Amino acid sequence: MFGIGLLKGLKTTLRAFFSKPVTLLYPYERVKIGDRGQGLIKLRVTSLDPVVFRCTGCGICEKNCPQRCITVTKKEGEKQPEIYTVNYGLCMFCRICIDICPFNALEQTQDAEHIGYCKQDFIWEKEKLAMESIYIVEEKAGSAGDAD
Amino acid sequence: MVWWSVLLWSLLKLLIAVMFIFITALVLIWLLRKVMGHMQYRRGPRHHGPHGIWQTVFDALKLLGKEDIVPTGADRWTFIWAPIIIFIPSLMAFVFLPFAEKIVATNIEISLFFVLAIMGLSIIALLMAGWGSNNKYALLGGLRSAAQMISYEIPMLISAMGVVMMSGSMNLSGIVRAQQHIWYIVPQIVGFFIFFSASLAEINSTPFDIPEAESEIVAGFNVEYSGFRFAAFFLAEFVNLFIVCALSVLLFFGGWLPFTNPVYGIIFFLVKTYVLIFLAMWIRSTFPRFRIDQFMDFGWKVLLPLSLANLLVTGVIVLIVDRFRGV
Repeated sequence: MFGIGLLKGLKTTLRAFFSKPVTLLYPYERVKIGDRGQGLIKLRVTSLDPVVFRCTGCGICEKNCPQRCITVTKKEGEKQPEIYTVNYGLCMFCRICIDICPFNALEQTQDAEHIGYCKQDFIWEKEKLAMESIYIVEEKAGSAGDAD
Repeated sequence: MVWWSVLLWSLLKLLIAVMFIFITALVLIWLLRKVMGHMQYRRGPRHHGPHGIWQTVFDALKLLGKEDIVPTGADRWTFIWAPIIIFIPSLMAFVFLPFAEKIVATNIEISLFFVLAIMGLSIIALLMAGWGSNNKYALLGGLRSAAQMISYEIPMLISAMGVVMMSGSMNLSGIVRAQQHIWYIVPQIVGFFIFFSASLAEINSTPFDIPEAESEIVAGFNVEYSGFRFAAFFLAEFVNLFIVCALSVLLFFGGWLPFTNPVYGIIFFLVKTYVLIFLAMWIRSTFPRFRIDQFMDFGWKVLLPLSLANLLVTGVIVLIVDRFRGV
């Protein structure tokens, strides 16, 4: 009969009106990103003082990055990166660098938020890249020590 | 009364009406955003006061603070005056709307006729805005709104005539008083549907918002407007929504009845009006926009014959009933 479709449409919207909104109040509530969510990269650290990176500065990640957003340099004879920057303005979070790293020096996080005022804010230095992974390594080291 | 007291009294009434209009428009915009939000599984405005009630106030203030741009090549006077003129019919309609028994600014015998007549005036402002903007989309929007208003005014008026025939009065208070035994929604249900859908078309509400169809002609007649002139169009649209819903309540839902006490009357009248406004917003957030040819077809080939048939049947029944009563 003519008009049934209209009433069905009205019913649908009315049901939506009385049901709970699906949106989250973003700055106060955040979506939990799954474990396989691809977020920012973290550099792993083996010791805190002095800071020793697991990265040896081999530059394989730099060569394999499809966006060319990683820059790695190292001094001759050292096995630590001198400069390690990631340009998150270019990064597409493909995690090829993490998969390709032979020393397992990079870690994937679920943190997808990176905010800045200018382009420079999106170029992260090695200290900033390692910052949160320090705590992760520390925890892991502590628990590993207990087990020993 | 001496002349200055008359003047002062009129100015006071005007001030009250303007205040009422602004507050109503702001509340309605907030309500629309809330209702639409919840109907789309969202929340609508939330910050700035409880449930975001101040959001529209700040939006209006923001628009007042914005730059007033008159485009090059615009017809300056028509462009500048159109947003002012669009407010005049809305303001004038409030003069004749009774809110409760004896709560009406000016009570004249043909107030229904007058309200419907001046509601039709807003077409001039939309045409002026369309012409004055010197923009093809604006001109198309203005012409579309002219076509829309002309084609939908006729079924709206004819469906209101059914109510006038039953009540035997063109005074809005008189029509409400005649509904003491039965609200006209019961005998005039077809008339109500015609009236309500035609009035939704009159105020450019969404299933009928072809004059400002974003996907076709950007924003229609208000594409070139910015700042407080844009705000004037926006507010006028929502004031008109209130007016047509109030008019529907007066004609079909017994206005302030069953209360004759002014305070309860006003409250009950506003409650009924807001229920109808909710209905309009519900329709607005449910249905997609008509295409322009479907829209004109609906007006001329469905609503107009239906309203004429409704008028004919109402006339015959009123005649028979009067004969039996021996009038």
